[in-house]
Amino acid sequence: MKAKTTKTWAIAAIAVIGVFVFLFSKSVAIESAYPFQRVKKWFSRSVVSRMVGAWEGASAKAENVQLKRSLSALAIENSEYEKIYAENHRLRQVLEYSENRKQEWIPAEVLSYGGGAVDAFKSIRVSKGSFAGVREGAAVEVPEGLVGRVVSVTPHTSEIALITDPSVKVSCRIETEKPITGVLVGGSEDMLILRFLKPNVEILPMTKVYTSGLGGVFPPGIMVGAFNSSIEATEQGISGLEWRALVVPAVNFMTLKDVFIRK
Amino acid sequence: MKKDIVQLIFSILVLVLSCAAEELLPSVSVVGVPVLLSVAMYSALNRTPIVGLLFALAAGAAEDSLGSLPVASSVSFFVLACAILRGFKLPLALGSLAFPLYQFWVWVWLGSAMQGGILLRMLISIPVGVVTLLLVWLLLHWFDGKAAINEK
Repeated sequence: MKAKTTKTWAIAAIAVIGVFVFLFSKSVAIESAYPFQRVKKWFSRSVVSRMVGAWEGASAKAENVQLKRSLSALAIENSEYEKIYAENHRLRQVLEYSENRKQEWIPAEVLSYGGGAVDAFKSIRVSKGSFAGVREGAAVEVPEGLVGRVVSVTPHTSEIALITDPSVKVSCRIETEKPITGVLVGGSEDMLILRFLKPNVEILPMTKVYTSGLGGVFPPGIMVGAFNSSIEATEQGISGLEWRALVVPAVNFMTLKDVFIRK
Repeated sequence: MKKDIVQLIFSILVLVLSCAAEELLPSVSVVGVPVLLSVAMYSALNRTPIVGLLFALAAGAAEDSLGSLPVASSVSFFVLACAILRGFKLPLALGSLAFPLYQFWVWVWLGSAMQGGILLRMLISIPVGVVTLLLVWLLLHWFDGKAAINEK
């Protein structure tokens, strides 16, 4: 009888410890799902893509995926070098200041969109975490432009809040003769909202919008999108009128497969 | 005693698989598939009270982690929903009401930070929840029968 009671208490204690691990270790649930996500990705990459390749007569489908990924990495690296060169040149001329910086990326595969049953935020989960050197707050890009920033990291995965999420605020600069700044405050997959703009400024449609680097979260010069509409005034509480515009995102968020996280 | 241990081990396995399923299944419009809540409610009615309660706690914590929700937002709802189901001995079918209520509960916690309108979310979560609950019930009921671990 006593032995039975002891065993019951032991089981209850183990169970309570287990629950506490779940409650206090945020990454346990995410990490437990990670192997299944990897299996799914492996299956779709190794099995499904090969079957599709065989069906289409293209035997090098899997290799092609790898090459495309490498090409994307090189393209983004190249555009960064171009930007650095231009920046360097300008700084040398104006301030006689030069500083070479080598930017490194961590390529990561998109594992899933959204999260949980509520799917409350516009986010993606990717296949690299703290073991690969990912840190919270890092900017995430693809060759086309800015994707978002890392909001949480587990050993093998990272959650990235997309710039379409209103919680991600991006300080932006519109490429006009006199640069205009604004703050991107989310939107939809098709259209982003740029707020706090200067009034009565003419901006041509499809003018490029880049990150300004103000605020220190996102580095300057990353493509965000293209200016879509004229600046419009909206009523904004006691502060009176606020000027905002719409921006077409440079990135197609629904077809993301690989992303690059800044180290 | 032996049943407790078997139920506990089985519950841990189900919890891990439910986390994976919730991550892998694509969202339906603006809502995800509520696998963890469905399994928690099933466990509340078909496991011993202590295993049911522990499962609700763990599933809620997992849901908070997977959805990046405030700590204890899902835990509190899961425990409450499971306690009501168990306490009033309600049929599992009534548990389908929990899905729109859960969306509302999280909306109360998050407010405008939550994407999509709350009414649309609640509407979509009804059919999504009913189908998920039905599938979870069929699967776990079949497995319980095979493993003979059902409380009843």
